[in-house]
Amino acid sequence: MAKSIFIDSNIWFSAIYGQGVCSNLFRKILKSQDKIFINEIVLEEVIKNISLKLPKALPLLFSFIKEINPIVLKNPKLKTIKKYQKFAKKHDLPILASTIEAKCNFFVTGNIKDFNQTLISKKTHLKILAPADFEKEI
Amino acid sequence: MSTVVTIRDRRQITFPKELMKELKLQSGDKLFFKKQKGNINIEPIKKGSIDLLTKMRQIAKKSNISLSDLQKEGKRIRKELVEDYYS
Repeated sequence: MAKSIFIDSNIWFSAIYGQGVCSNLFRKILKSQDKIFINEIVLEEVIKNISLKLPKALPLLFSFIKEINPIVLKNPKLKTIKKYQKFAKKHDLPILASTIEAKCNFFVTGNIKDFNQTLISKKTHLKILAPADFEKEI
Repeated sequence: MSTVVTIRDRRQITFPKELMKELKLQSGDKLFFKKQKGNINIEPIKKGSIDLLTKMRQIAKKSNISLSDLQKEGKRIRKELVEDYYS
């Protein structure tokens, strides 16, 4: 069965910057039936950061986004975010909340320490994984 | 689906139509061969997206921006976006 995988912005930056586990992760997902998810904040963060730091790469980023065709989740409402207050640090909560609400199977991030994995796995279906662990999983 | 193919004289093989259809492959697509404990694992590669990643990587390497700079700036942008959106 196809899995839904939310890919946090830090994984995008690592995949763009260097060859390795993060670009492999995109390659593996793209050859599978699995679907890549992001949300509006992550999309804006990735575009803004690349336009500031690597402006020459911006047209390629747009083509890449078009090619992989991710599902872009709407930013959750404040009321929804409040349900998950203990799950992560303040600025990661909207991203995590949209992933949980969309019932994604995996959330892949390079900053797993910023998420309360024990609580998340106890209360939701979502698995938070570092890229290397996610690679083993798929 | 399992199938058998034969390697011909010039090291060429033909993929059965059904397999191509099932894997959504077409001529010109690239396959990634990986040797794994005496077996060969074959994975199709969506060429376009991987090429784009490679091109972006080349631009990143030529810049004086480190991955750490990129990640730090990403965190800063996220904070700003979240605060703007939810304030």
